[in-house]
Amino acid sequence: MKKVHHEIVSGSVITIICALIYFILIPTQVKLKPNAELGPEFFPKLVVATTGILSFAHTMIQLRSLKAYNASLKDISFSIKGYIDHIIFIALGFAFLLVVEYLGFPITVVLLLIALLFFFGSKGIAKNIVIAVIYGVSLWYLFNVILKISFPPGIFGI
Amino acid sequence: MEFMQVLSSFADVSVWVSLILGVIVGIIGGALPGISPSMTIALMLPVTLYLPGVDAIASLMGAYQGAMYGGSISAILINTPGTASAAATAIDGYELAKKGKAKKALLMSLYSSVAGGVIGIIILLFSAQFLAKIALKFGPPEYFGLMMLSMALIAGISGKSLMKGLISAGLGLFFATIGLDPIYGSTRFTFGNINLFDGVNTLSVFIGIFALSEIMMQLSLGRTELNKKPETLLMDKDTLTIKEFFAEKMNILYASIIGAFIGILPGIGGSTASFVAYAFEQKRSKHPEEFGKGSLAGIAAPEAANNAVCGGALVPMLTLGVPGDVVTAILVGALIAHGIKPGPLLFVENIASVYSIYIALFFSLIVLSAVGHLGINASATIVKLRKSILLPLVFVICIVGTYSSGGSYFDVYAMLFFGVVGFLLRKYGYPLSPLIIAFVVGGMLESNLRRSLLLDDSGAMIFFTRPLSAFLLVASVVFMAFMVHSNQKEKKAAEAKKEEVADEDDLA
Repeated sequence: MKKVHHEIVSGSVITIICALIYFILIPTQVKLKPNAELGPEFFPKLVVATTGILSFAHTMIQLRSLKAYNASLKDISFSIKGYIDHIIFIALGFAFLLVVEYLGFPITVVLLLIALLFFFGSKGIAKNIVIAVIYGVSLWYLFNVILKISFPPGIFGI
Repeated sequence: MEFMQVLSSFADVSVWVSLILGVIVGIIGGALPGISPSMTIALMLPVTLYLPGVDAIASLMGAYQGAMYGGSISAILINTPGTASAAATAIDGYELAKKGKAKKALLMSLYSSVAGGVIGIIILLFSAQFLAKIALKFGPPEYFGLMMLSMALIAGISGKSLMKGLISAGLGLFFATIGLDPIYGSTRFTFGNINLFDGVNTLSVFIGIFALSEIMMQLSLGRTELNKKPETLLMDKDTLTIKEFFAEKMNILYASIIGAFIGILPGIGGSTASFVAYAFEQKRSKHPEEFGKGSLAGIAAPEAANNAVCGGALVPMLTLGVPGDVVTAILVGALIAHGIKPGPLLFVENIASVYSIYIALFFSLIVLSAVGHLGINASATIVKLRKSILLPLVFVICIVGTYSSGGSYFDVYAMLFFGVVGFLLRKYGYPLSPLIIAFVVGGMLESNLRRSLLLDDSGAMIFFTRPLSAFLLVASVVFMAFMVHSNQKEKKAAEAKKEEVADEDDLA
């Protein structure tokens, strides 16, 4: 039952996204060539329309199957609770990108690793710090010193 | 002459270091459950961008072969296949390990993988040049037909729902349109951001969709589960004898041929090859009753087949530029990033790169046999790593790898975005492989479609007036229908089995 609800929600969301791309994004975000045969908008329109039609059809098929389960659309519920960990995880990624410009790569990556190790449930403060420092510094050494990839320095000059 | 020149470039120590590192990374990536071969190669790709051409090819080919073997380590030691292609190996491998013969099972898996890999390369050598010669006669309509054939494989990798596979592919094609239009050069979906003018960074898509979404899926398991230490069986001293290995020579030969030919066909891949080879050997065997109870033949067949797939899958990839599966789709992206454009012209304009790939593949097998043998005891340690430590380390690699591919933090933001997209799609049961394949072939598909339609006034009829393009389009439809039919057959069989089990439970 829950699976059908999932299908309806995902199908509807993709249909709406396709409609938004087709009617809003393509006219505003594709620089058209006047009088051009098969212009730059041709392929995106074809792809988005096809995907939209498919996801709409998928939603309709699932809606029909609701009857078989004797259920209704009212039963569809969404809880953010199950996604809190994922949101925090992605937020940590964004926080890294914001902080790295100030603190520089080696310090920020060690801080990120310590935070992530605790977040993923690894126990032992000393163990987590040691792993984070060794791994973070090794990565920085590999990329910065051996592979010569420059990371923008932070306020400490590294 | 050119072959000898390329071969001499392999005398360089740095090439062998790259090969060894590639194989080690591949084995570790393959052995860790949750880290697929495609994810391993995607994560390794940024590092290879800073290596000279031959070194980069060597490390990628090493990782490819290493990952295919690595999957069997966790399959044998903890009954959890590190890769889908190692699922068949777990059947007999784990049983043998339970009997205290883990080392014997691992060695059989290693040497069958190496033998399978060699046979796969031989088949690649014989078929690639021939196919490339034919493909040189292709124009835009034929290329469009080829791209459609590649898209048709989506039917085979869509899993339970073809519709969802097609929707996923549609999203991949849309992401491929971001950037400059291939014909007129107009900007599309760039929001005025200069970072998007060349399109979305391929690595941001690969790493986000595969690696990041996988970490997020694993996060759903909960911290207690992530912090659990996997139980491994103890490594014994009972080793594989030469006699035992050579007793499986015909088994390995047949399995390798099966694997290489399945590899050539788009969309079928290593897991099917290993199960087909397993079933074939069971039927051929004088002792079929031993299968599933720790038979060495049951390890040799799937392992030889899934490594032979590597050589087979490179045939359409190198000669036609058509990726046969997700791993080769990522390899296409990797080779393009190194200035090597797979396709028939590669055999005319840059034959040295083709030779480099052949030689690297072959040498990677030699390295695999040595590294695999020496590291057999260490492999038990690899699979024991807790996910609560492994996943944060992988996430940091995702960030650093994506950043270093373009030297811009914008690509990391894009990677996070694609990670979320990948996670949501997986959560709602949409397969990700069609998205990746569509993203890789999207640019070529569009430009060849539009170029074909602009060639003359006949419109879409141009695809049917040229025999080869008509053949390829018809083949795409037939292939897709065949895949849908076999998927449905499998689905029905699975449902029937489920009902049977339920009936048995009721009776009990």
